[in-house]
Amino acid sequence: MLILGIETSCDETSAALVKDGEEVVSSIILSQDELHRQFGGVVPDIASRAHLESIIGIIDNAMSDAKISLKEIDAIGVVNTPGLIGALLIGVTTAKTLSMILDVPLIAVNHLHAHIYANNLEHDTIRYPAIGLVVSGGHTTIFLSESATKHVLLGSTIDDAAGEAFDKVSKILGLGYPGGPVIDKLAKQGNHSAVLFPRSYLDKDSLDFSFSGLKTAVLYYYKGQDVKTGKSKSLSEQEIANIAASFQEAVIDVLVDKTILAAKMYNVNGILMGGGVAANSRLRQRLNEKSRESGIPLYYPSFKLCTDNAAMVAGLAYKKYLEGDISGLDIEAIP
Amino acid sequence: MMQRKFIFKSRSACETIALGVKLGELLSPGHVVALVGELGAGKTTIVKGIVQGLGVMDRRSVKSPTFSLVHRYEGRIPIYHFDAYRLEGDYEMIAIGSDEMIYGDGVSLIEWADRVSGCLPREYLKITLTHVSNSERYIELQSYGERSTRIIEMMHLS
Repeated sequence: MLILGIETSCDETSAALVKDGEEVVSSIILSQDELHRQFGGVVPDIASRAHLESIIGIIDNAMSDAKISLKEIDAIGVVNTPGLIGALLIGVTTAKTLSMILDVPLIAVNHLHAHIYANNLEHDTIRYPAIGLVVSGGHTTIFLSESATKHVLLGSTIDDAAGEAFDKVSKILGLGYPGGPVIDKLAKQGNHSAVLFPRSYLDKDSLDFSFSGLKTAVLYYYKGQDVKTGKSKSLSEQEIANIAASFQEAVIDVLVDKTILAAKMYNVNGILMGGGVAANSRLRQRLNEKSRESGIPLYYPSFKLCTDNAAMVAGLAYKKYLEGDISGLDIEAIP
Repeated sequence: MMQRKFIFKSRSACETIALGVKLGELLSPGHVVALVGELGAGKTTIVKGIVQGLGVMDRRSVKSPTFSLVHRYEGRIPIYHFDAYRLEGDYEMIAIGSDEMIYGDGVSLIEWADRVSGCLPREYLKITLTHVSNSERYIELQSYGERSTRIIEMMHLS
């Protein structure tokens, strides 16, 4: 069974063809960088207009890459929540139209559940129940995943997402965008116990996250009392690397501790991590160590499946199709 | 145009939220609150209070919209919580449909409003948050226009 996946929930316009929920036949992702190259100017990466301009071409590319014609598609999966309303609408409307023209089933997919499913595209030893951890620029969420399609929300950030904290701290330290990869790389040269930044655990046993205070703590450490004047202390490259490493460690400590706590609370058979921050090398290493100690297998996707992509959407749509969870043409985009 | 100021020194995030609650209780449909201040100044923190004052009791439902650009909450009236941090300017703000919300039936709270100043209506309330120390902030409320001036007057009275 061949499913076309469509993902337009945020900055990436993506289409993919996946066979039987596991074999990625083609996957096209148009990111902001490519938009800039293609159009040679500044493009509002977030505007639904950007998705609107590129979605048809992206689907065409996914089809021609796979050497498949639209008529050979058996179903369409599309992300309808959560995300930016205008952006979601482009994907949802395109998917509805194709579903009607081709007379194939339409399956609405939750973006966060799809991030967890990205693991199933590359691993076939996953056993449920599992803890699903989605960490990205817009989300920091823990689920109890009872199956590939059933996820119960256990906790999420109450202010900033983990990836957002990386971006903002990177900005504070003058390191550029996107902050995740930049800090990951620089932290390797730093001492992660150089600065003891606060770890926010909220209530004992809480599976919610808070990263806003950590961002402010980094700001004060970096600028000292000059924060009012906006001047920065002159710090050596090594000191900046130490701050980056210490900040990253504070984020990771909380992510790892809460994930392991959740895994033990619900006595699960695995941990499934997804989202852009799941590409962070230190997070992977630390969570690997802790999950091994606890005897709970950890899964995370390869880099290309960590960030937003439509392959994970088409994959999850297949599982939902098998369970008869098919949407009507009246599905809505829900921000 | 009528203008008035209200200045408050907050000693903690809790005090900032409490000030927000007081302000939120006074807001009505069509009000626009522009929030200005550096990273970590407390923009999202005061919004948590304002949203509570508008009748959303679970403070956890207010999260930073930096990534998703705008959140909508259902209080006693609709609340639109914008974040222009990632926006390049007025054009991108309009592209996400800000006009419909700002000139709609709810209250709009706009973080990093100075980045999209061309999208602000003629009358609005501006909140400027400034770092004093790790936990202390100066919070200045400045009204532009009659409606928000009345709000500031009520803040002075309470």
